[in-house]
Amino acid sequence: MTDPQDEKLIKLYQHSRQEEPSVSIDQSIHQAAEKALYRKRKRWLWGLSTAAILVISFNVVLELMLDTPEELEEVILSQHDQSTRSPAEMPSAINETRFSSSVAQDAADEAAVGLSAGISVDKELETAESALSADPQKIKAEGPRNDYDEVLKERQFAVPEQSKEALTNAESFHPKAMAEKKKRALPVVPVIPELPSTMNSLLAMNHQITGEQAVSGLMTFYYRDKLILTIKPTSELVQYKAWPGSEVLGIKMDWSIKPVQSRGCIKGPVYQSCNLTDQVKGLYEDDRLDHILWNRPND
Amino acid sequence: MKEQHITDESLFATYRKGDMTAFEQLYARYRQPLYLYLLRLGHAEATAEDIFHDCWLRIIDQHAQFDGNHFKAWVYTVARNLSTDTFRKAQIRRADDQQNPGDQPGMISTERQQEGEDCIELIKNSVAALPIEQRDVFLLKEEAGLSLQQIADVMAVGRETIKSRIRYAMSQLRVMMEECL
Repeated sequence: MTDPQDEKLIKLYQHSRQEEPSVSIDQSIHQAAEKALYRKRKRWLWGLSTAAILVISFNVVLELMLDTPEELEEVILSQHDQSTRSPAEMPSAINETRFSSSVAQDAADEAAVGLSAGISVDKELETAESALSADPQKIKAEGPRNDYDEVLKERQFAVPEQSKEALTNAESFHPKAMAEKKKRALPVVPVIPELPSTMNSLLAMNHQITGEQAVSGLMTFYYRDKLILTIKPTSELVQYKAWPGSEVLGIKMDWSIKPVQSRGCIKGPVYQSCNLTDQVKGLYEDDRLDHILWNRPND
Repeated sequence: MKEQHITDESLFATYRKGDMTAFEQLYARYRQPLYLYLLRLGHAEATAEDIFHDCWLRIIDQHAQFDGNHFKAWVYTVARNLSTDTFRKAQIRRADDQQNPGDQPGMISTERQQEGEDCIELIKNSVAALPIEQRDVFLLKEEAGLSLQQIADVMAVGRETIKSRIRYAMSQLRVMMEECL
C-alpha cells in the first residue's frame, strides 16, 4: 500500500468511521456479561454445596453403619447409670437417653442384678413386670419423673429402630421370659441317653465330673460337688438314678414337672414314685421332683 | 496507557475469572470496529446491531470455543459467521448481488454519485459497492486490523487469495473514488 492514492483512500475511509452501536446495546451486553459471571459463581457455589452435602451424607451413612450392638450396649449401660442418679440430675440424664422406655429397661437390669445378688427371684420378677408394664402416663404419675415428662414424650417419638431392637432383646432376658423360654425348650418326656455303666467310661464324658465306687459296686457321680448320678449294677440290671444337674451327661428333663402331670403315682415312706414314661420313674418329695430312676439290662 | 499493554487474551482471561472491569476494557477496544465491520459489510443499522449483540453474547457464553490465542481473529470469525447466517436467511448472496445489485443494502446508484456527495459518504458507498468477498477482506484488514494470514484463517481461504482480493478491492475503490483522490 505504498501507493499515495491508496494511502489517501485509507485516510478517507478512516474519517468515515463515525457510526457506533447504540447505548442500549452496550448496556444489554454489559448485563449479559455480568450475568454470565454470576452464573459461573453460582455454579461454583452449587458444586461446593453439592460436594458438602455428599460428604455429610457419607458421614451420616458411615455413622449409621458404625452404630453396632456394642454401641447400643453402651447406651443401655449408660441409661442404667442414669437411673441411679439423684432427681436433680435427672433432666440432663434424660436428655442423654435415646428412648423413654429406659425405665423398664433399667428395672429389668436391676432385676437381673438382684438375682445375682441373691435377692429372691419372685420379688425381682414383680419389680421387672411392673416396670415393663409401666407406660409413660404411669411414670408421669409417679413423681420425680413428672419434671421431665415432656422430654420423655419427645424422646419416645425419637426411638431409633436399633434401640427398639435392643429393648426387645433386653426384654427377652427378663427372668420370667427366660424361665418361660427354658421351660418351652425342655421336653415334657425325659430324654435319657445311652449312658455307660462303668466308672471310667462315664468319667470320660466330662472332666468336671468326679466319682466314687463302693465295695457293693454302687457308683456315685458328682458335678461340682453336687450329686447328679448313681449307677447300681446288679447281675441282671443296671439301675440309674439322676438328679438335677445331670444335664451335663446329656439327660434332658424338666425338673419342674409336677406329680399331677405324671401317671401311676405310688406314695412311699419318703418319695412319691410316678411313671414319667414306661421306663423312667420320677421320685417326688412334697411335689418336688427329687430324682429320676430307670433300669437297663446288664450286658 | 498501561492497559494498552494488556493483550486481549489476558483481558478476556481476567474477565473469565470474575473481573468485570477487564470485560469493559475489552468491549471498549472492539465496540466500534466490530460494529462498523458489520455495518459496512452491508447490513442495515438495526440488523448490524442485532448481529453485534449476538456476537457478544456468543463471546460471553461460548468462551469454551476460544482456544486462548488470537482473540481478535476469534471475535471476527464469530461475527462473520453470524453475518453470513443473516445474509443467508435474507437470501442475500453474492450471486444475487451481481444479478440484482439494486437489492443489496448500502449499494450506491450512479445517480447518487453524480449528485456530488462528499468524499466521506462516497467512500462508504464505494466500500458497500464492492463485491462481498472483496468488501469482507477490505473490512477485516482496515476495520479489524487483522493480518493477511489472520484474514486467510478467518475466511478459510489461502493467503494469496486474500492478497489478490485486497488488490482488486483497492483497484475498484480507486476507480470509484477518482473524484476525491
